Amino acid sequence: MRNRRLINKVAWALFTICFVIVLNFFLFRILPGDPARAGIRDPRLTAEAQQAIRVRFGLDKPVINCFASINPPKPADCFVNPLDTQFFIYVGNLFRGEFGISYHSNQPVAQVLAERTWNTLLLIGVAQFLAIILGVALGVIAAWKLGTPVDYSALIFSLVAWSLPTFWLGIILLFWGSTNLGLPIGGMVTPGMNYASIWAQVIDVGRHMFLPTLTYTIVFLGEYMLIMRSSLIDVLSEDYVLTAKAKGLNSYQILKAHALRNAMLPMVTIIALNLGFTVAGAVQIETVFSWPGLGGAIYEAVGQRDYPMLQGAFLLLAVSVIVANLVADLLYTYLDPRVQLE
Amino acid sequence: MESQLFSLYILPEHLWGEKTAQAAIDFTNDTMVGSGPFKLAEYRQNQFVRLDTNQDYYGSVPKVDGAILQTYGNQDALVQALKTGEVDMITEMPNTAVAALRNDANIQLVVGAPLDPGVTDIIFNLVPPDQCPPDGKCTGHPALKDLTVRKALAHATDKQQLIDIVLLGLGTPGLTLIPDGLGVYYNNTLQDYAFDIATANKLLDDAGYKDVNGDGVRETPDGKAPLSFRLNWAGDMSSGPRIAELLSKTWGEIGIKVEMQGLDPDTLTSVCCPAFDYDIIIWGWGSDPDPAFLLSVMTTDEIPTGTSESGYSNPEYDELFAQQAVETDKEKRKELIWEMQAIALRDLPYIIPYYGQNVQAFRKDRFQGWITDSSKIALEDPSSLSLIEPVK
Amino acid sequence: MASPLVAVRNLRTLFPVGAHSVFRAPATFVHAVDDVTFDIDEGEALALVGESGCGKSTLALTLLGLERPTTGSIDFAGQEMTALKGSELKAARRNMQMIFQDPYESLNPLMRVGEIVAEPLIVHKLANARSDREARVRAALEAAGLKPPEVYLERYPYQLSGGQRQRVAIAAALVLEPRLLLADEPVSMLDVSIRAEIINLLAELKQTRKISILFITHDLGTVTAVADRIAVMYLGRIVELGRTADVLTQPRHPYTKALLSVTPAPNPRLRKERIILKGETPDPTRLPGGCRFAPRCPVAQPLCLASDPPLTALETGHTAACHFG
Ligand SMILES: Nc1ncnc2c1ncn2[C@@H]1O[C@H](COP(=O)(O)OP(=O)(O)OP(=O)(O)O)[C@@H](O)[C@H]1O
Ligand SMILES: [Mg+2]
Repeated sequence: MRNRRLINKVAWALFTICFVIVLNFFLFRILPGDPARAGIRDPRLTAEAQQAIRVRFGLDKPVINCFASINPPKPADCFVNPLDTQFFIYVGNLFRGEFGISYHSNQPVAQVLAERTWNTLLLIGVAQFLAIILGVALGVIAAWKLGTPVDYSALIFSLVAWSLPTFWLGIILLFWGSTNLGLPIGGMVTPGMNYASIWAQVIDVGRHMFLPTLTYTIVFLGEYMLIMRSSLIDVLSEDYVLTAKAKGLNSYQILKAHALRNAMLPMVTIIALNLGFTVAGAVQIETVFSWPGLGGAIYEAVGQRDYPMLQGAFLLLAVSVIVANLVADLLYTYLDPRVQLE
Repeated sequence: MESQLFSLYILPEHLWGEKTAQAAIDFTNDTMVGSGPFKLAEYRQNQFVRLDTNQDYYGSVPKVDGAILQTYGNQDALVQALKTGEVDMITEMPNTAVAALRNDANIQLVVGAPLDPGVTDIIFNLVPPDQCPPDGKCTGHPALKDLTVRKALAHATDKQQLIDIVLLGLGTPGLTLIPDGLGVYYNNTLQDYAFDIATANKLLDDAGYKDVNGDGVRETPDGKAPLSFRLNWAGDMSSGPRIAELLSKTWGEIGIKVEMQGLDPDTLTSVCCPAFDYDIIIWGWGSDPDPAFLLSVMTTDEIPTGTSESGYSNPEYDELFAQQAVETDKEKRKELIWEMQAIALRDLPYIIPYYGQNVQAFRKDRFQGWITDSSKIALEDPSSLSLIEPVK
Repeated sequence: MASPLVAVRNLRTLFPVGAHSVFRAPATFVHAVDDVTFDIDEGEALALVGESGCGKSTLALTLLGLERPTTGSIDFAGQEMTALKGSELKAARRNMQMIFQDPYESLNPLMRVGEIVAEPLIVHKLANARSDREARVRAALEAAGLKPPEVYLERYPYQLSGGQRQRVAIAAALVLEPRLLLADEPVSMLDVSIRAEIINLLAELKQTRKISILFITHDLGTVTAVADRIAVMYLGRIVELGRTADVLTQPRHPYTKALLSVTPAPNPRLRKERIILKGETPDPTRLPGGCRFAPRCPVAQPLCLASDPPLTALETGHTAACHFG
């Protein structure tokens, strides 16, 4: 039963990824304008130079059999070798881990994305970890002290944190932290610094990470706290909690043995989905703190109309959401025995 | 002429002579060779560039050990970095931050034309349907082909107000596509159309553009078409909506209506040129240090290529363009170019609302000796960086 | 005569209601349990009957110490329960176990049957040796009618039927070998077809293990098989108390009569005309003066509105709170 479900879920995720790959390709071909001109906006480009660029990026080939281009629709020979069309070259390159060449930086998209992704994962990983730990702890305390001043303070704090505009909070913390704590304003490392030891390097990155992590943690902590609180309140009113009390379990034992695990179930889904989206969702924080992450890269690529970068980032984002969903699903199967039968 | 060589590079023939053009395209240039006052020590894309001083420089060796050019994701952070002393100099800032920095005792502001001057322009579609280029649609409003209407629009454009509101005062009134930042090539003797609603109204009245149906919008002399124009701008220009809004107000005072809409740059390109499927566009150009390219934008040759946005065509201007291209005497070339600007201002294929100024700033307590008195400001330029020394 | 296992005297449990928050004192109280007195003997089953909201569950929870009584005393096996705290209360609870109404909600969905039944042993640090514990869990499952126990140990609640779940709940109560079982409507959520099985199981436990049972129900039809005596509750009060046969055949309180008239009687000859109660149950925060049942009583007299009748003995072991009983 368990295995069949697992295979089903993985197969479905793979199918979705294939669909996204196809969609991702055609989406960028439906956009108006000549991609060769979108990247290089210099009107002085001669016709020969434009052609050279098209050849370089493979844009001289038909998009797919029968279509030279999709927008505007231009017909082409239907009897060409499909492997010699843009679509199949794109698919083939993907399987080789090649996402194309960035129009803007002229570097392989995969390489740029990979570097940026690690930076983003570092920031988001630490911040999400803190947000989850603190949010869950705060939610548990609030639910446990339901209706007391502790609960109200935690509730108000979380509601405020949750509704604060990220960009605004970031700027405020940036001004505060750089003025009062002497923390760096932007970037990931102090440029030109010679590190005496690996620790000095860790500390330097840590100092740069502090404010963006704090901002990110506050923004997500509120959401986690609110969900954990209401989920735990629900669970605490369940009969099995009352039963446990009747059996002689004390508060701590009830939390540990019964309430927390049940209350965490809805959290698992939300955390997994958040993680999926935040791979690219930290745009605002990365912009405020000049963090060289994926969000910033996407933001820049939009401004520069760097279609290969966007296409790669979009695929990465979609895949991470799908994978996060899959992980949530599988984790759920593991955590909740009831799910297997569904 | 020398500044047209700016983008021509010298290559060692013994290395490149045998190679194809494709080899040049594929060349990544990882190990750079140069001869300037600084050497590239470290480069992290979108993060920073670290330069070390070239101790073997043939000129005067910089007094500093090196320089770091750091990139910030937003301008507020940039200003804060200067305030806290994380950086010693910043090359741009939001105009809204200027007032606050001006009051900071440790900070010196420097205002001037930017090193790579840009120009914001208001483009008129001048292409008559019977002279439409092969790919064109040429749907421009007929009234805009009448110089009188364009003159009236120029008189009804309050450039000072645009500068004050859009640039918070940090700009100078524009004349033609050649900005003041181009130094000697900029013709500073030209007389602009004064902002004067009465003059504008009189021009239109005299030419027979009357509001015959009393709806507040003038009609063409034949009474058929109202003077209602499509006004588009590039969606990635943050100043676009504000310029359009201000124009619609003062132009409205002379009975001219505009339908405003920002367009995605790709869409704008496709309606602009060589389709000529628009009435008026607000857009802009970045410039080389040499005016040749911006001058070419108004030549007849560029109409089918899409570089000419207005479709302006004047044999006299084309002839002057051809002459300046081959003129080797700098002074004579300047004269030709000045004359071309006079023609452009007279014929008004564009109204240029303003030339933006750049504001840079440095900390007075860190380094001294920055070049601040040049007509163009570029504190980050090696010329400046090689002169500065720490404040004692 | 040996003293009863449980002796409840003048027990009162009030709940604050209304605009109640940390910032404001409560305005009114729900009189969920209001001056209740009764005994349960060793090995005796007392049925507590009454309509929804009359305070049956609150009474049970108060006995267990899960709700604090406002006043009154609970003597359990010679120990005053209301005075106990912490570890003493925990120890006393070992002897008192409760079964809840809805077996779909009273079992933690994430725990296996084996874990559920073993948990009380672990909590009370009984049968610390693993083998001992497992033996007791099996015994409890068997006693609750889940045979053979091996089949059930590894199952999750969702894999069981309602009746099986309720048996698991019973097993988890039995594993501590309690002296008193509080069964709060243990069959009302089950299919009619399996209600009798569970009731018979309780009756059997009473017989074989001499467990005392407080059997809570709002359905008089389910009491005969298990209960020795019946207590009828109305709005936080016991209005009639007596041996099962006496109360069912010779009800003395008009409320009991009304309850009986709407209960499908097992013996058709006992069938009487239906007494339909008029009006609504009064708001438990604003109780009428005089007899609480008077506003709905078909035989009420002016006296009833003026004075509240006490529980008075009628014949041996049969008491009722009615001026005209
Ligand atoms: N924790 C509480 N806070 C406030 N009021 C309560 C609380 N618990 C119960 N009550 C109220 O006390 C009264 C008695 O409730 P209780 O649950 O004991 O009734 P019951 O006889 O068990 O009803 P049912 O047959 O529906 O289970 C009801 O009016 C109920 O609303
Ligand atoms: Mg109840």
